[in-house]
This record gives sequence, C-alpha cells and structure tokens, in this order.
Amino acid sequence: MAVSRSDELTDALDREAYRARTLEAFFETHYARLVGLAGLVCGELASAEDIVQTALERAWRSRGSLEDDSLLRPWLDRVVVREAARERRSRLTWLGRLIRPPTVRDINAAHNELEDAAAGRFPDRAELRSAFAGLTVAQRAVVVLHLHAGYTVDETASLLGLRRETVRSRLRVARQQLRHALGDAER
Amino acid sequence: MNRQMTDDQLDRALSQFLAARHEEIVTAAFAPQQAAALVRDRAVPRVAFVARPSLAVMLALALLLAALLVAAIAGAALLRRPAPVPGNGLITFGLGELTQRPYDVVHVVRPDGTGDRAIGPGVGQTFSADGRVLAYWAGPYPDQVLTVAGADGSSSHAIRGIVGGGDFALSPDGTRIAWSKTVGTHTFTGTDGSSSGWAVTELWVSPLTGAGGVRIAGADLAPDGFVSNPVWSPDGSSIAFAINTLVADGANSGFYRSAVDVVAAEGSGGRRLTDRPGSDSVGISWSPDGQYVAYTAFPNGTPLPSFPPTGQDPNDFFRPDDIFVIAADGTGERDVTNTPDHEVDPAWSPDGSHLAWVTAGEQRLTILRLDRSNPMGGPVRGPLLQGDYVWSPDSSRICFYWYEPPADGIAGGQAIDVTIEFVPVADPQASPSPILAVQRMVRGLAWQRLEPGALGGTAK
Repeated sequence: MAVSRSDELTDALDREAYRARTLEAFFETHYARLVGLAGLVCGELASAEDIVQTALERAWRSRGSLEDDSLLRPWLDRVVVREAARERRSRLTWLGRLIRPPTVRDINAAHNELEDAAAGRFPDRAELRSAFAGLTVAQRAVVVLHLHAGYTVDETASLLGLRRETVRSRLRVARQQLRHALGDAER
Repeated sequence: MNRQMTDDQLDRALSQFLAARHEEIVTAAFAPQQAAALVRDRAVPRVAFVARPSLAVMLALALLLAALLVAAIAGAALLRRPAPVPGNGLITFGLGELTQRPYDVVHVVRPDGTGDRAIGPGVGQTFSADGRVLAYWAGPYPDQVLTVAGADGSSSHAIRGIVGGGDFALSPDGTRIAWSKTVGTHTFTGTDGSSSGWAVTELWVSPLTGAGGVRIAGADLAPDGFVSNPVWSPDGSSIAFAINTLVADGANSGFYRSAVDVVAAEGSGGRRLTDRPGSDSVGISWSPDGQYVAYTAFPNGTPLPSFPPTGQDPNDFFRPDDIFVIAADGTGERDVTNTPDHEVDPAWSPDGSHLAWVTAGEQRLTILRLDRSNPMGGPVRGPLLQGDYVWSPDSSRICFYWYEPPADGIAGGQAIDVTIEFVPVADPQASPSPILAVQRMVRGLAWQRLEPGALGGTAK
C-alpha cells in the first residue's frame, strides 16, 4: 500500500507527540526528587536545575539500558549528587565566578533566597540552615544521601565511590561541626 | 539547641530540616513539565550551559591571566587601568507649564543641579544611547514634530515627516528613530450610546536626516488595539514593541498589553517574544548584552483585565503585574518578582549588574543586584518616587523625582513643589540627594551618556 506524504507527516507528528509525552512522564517521575538532592548539595537552584536536566536527558536517551528503576534511581542519584558537588567546587573558585555570568535563573535563585530570609519563612530552622550551609560539599553529599535520601552507609559509599570508613568519618565530622555551629548559634 | 543532643536527635532534626528544604527547592524550581519542555526544545544548553567553563577555556584564560599579571608587574600601566566607565552627562526633563498646557518645556541640567536651562516647548525628551543627540516632540498636539538637537539643546531643527507625538526611541547610534505613526482612528459605540475612539498606529523606523524609512509593524498586528513602545536592542539590530488590546464593556473601555513582539530594524523577521499579557506597555527593557528582555506582565492564573460590575469603581481594571525576564530567543520566561504586589517599569542598569523596577502600590523604587558574587543578595527597597526614574550611565545612581501628592490630586496647571533627586545604587536606602527643586510638575527623565574620558556636563 502506498504511503502518502500526509501519512508520513501524521506518523512523524505522532512520534513527536509520543516522545514529548514519555519525556514529560519521565521527568515527572524523577525531577522533583533529584532537583531537591542537587539543590541541597550545591546550594543553588539554577545549578541544581541544570544538573538534573542534563542527567535526566542523558538517562532518557539511554533508557533502554536503564529501564529497571531499581538500577536507574541510584544511577541518577549518583550522577546528580556527584555533579552537584563538582559544580559547587567550581563555583567556589574565583575563576569560575569570573567565567560564568549570571543566568536568568540565577536571578530567581538569589531572589528566592532573599524572600525566604526577608519573610522569615522558616525562622525555627534558621540555625540549622546556617549550620548546614557551613558544611563542605563532600560532607553535604554524604549527609544528604544518608540522612535524607535514605541510603545506607554502604550504599552511600558505593554511590559516591568512597570507602565505607570514609563515609562514616565524614558523617561523624559533619555531626561535630553541626553541633558546634548550633551551639555557637545558641550563645 | 542543646549541645548534648545525641546522634539520633541530631539526625532527626537534620532529616526534618532537609525534607523541608527539599520541598522549598522543588517549589522554587521549574515544574517537571517545564523542565521536560526545556530539554525537548534544547533551550537549556543555549541558556544555561553556554558559558560553563571547559578545561580548555579555563587553561586558556589562566594563561592569559598569567600573561597579564607578568605585564602588570613589568610596569605596563595601561593594563592596570580599570575598564573605562561612561561619564554621567546632562539630565533632561520636562517641566509643566502653568498657562499653556498641554505643553511642557524641555530642560537640561548638570547632575550637580547647576546649569538648568530651558530648551523650548516639547515633550518626550530623550538622549540617544551614545549621548550625542537630544530629541523631543515640539509644537501643539496633535501636530507635534520631532525635533533633534545637540545634547545641550543647541542647533535644534525639526524633522519634517516625523509627526504625531507618539512613542519613539532613538537608535543606539543616534542615526535612526523607531516611532509610532498614527494612520487612522478606530471608534466604537458603547451600550449606553456613547462613542469613543483611539488612534490606529503603525511602527516605523526612519532616518534622522529626514522623512522616509520602513514600516516595521503594521496595524494588522493589533486589530482591536494598537502597537506601541518600540525599544531598540543594544546593538541596534532589533526592536521590541508592545501590542495592546481593547477591552470594552458597556460605557467602559480600556487597553491592556496583550503581547510583546520583536522585529529586525529593517522590518523583517517579526516574531512573538511573549504572549503573556500585562497591564503596562512601559518598561520593556533589553539587558545591555542583548540576551534578555524584561517587562511587566501578569503571573500565571491572572484573569485578563475587565471592568467590575456597574456601581463599582471602573478604575479597578488592571490586575497586579510581576516583572518577567525572557531570553531574547523567546525561551526561559521567568517571573522575577513573584509577589502579590503590583510591580512595573523594569530597567536594566547600563552595565547589566542590576535590574530596577517600581513597586506601584507604594510607588517605591526596588533594585535587584544580579552579580553572582553576592548570591544572597536580592531586591532592595529604595526610595519613594513619583513617575519616572532613570539610571546614570555609569550605573552608580538612579535619578527620579518626588512630590507630596496634593490632597485634591494632581491637577494640571497648579504649582507644586517637586524635587529631582538621586540615590546611590550601592545604598538604595540612603537619604536621596537633591539635584534640583522646581515648582512645576516634572515629566520624563533621561540621562546623557558621555563616552569614557569625554569632557562635558560631568560635574558631580
């Protein structure tokens, strides 16, 4: 049977619509969790969004090999948290600041931070927020994966490519620092 | 917080904090559908990754910086000199007349308040971006003729063929004008039998040497309204403008800005930048690098302007606007302010480091620092103002005017004490410094840019 140009066009449009629907569903499944993880580690919304969008795009393109959610989820968490830690480090260098100008979303990120502070929206968490912000990105990555994302110490070590003892050590030091910062805040 | 809390207690508190912070981040982030659309359209790499440093770029820059450092140590004084900053030239403003309204008189004054000089009757005064040309509408309405002069008002002459007193903007190099040309009148009759009308407009770009030019936006773009407010991109290649739409209900009628379009200065390639409506056409503002456009618009879920039922105040027409920013290619539209307040009239600082707007309810200037080296920075409340404001060309201050509204409103033709003032951008909450006190209404402000090192009205 001959295939007309309009049939080909219809098929192409159907394929594009299907592609858009599946991509959207994929994002709905993973985006919120990942952007929260990345944001907690790197501390910047704009960077977190960039990192998660890139990771999800990569994962979606290769989803044939990652269809099993029990494999996909830790893979995404690992990519996103590692990248968030790397991003944070690069931002901390003066050269990194110099090279990358602010994006529109940086504007909003800065604004959101200010709104929270100005409105005193979470005053009961102000000390924790300040104390958590004082941790290193390496400590944050461990704390977020273990205490927030629910990974065990062994799983956290595996995700971050660290030894189990290193994870335990970072958790211990992070707790000490938090206690110290919270105690200082109380005084 | 108790220093002696156990690991479990600390972990629980931390876990609760992280969960709450996670929710805050998710709330502030793009919705998943928006993020998916960005990825699908390949918008994210264009916007967010374009300037991410690669190893090669880092290395090249490091080498360049090392070379500069060596040169500086060797005494290359030129390399130690800071980047040239444009000078702050004259300020122009319109001063209301008591006896000959609707005329204003165009004035120029130095930034220190000296040298106030009347140029002549006119409205809409502005400088070209290079600071060489002062332009304004001269003559009685509606037969006003565009008049151009040197920045100090000298050697003025009328440009025949550019008439009407509508919105206009000089090109960055001061050689062309984008202007709103009246080509007819629309009338409609309300249900109460009253009739009213409005000017049908086109947008044109014409040379400042005389008549002619090219139409860049036809009246057909706004069949139930008009096109207005042309704004040049910083490189002079494109023009953004507003499309306004009529809302008529019985005896009431009004307009809202229904879209913002962009067209090449030669009239080709017109496209929609955003169809997000807003109440205000004023303040469409390009970022100095030409990558973004800021404007006033309604946040999601806002109903279009409409008139309240008979018996209620017909002035209650508009809804609160926010300040939005969109990439010049039409992607990544974001609500920058996102408050219940009514924010209008955004303007980028000339150096791109700040975005300012007016919080309309209390008429307060608000300034947002965009410098990422200060990520905790954000909108800072500045002084109260009336009407317009303008950035100094060196981005260090903002000029505006202030008066106490008279109890019976602002009636034309009455004396009123107005001060033209400025506030330093580094400390917007400082007391404003007066430039000039007058006893007439002030309308319209523009500040002349002086090329770095140029001599002129730079007294400070």
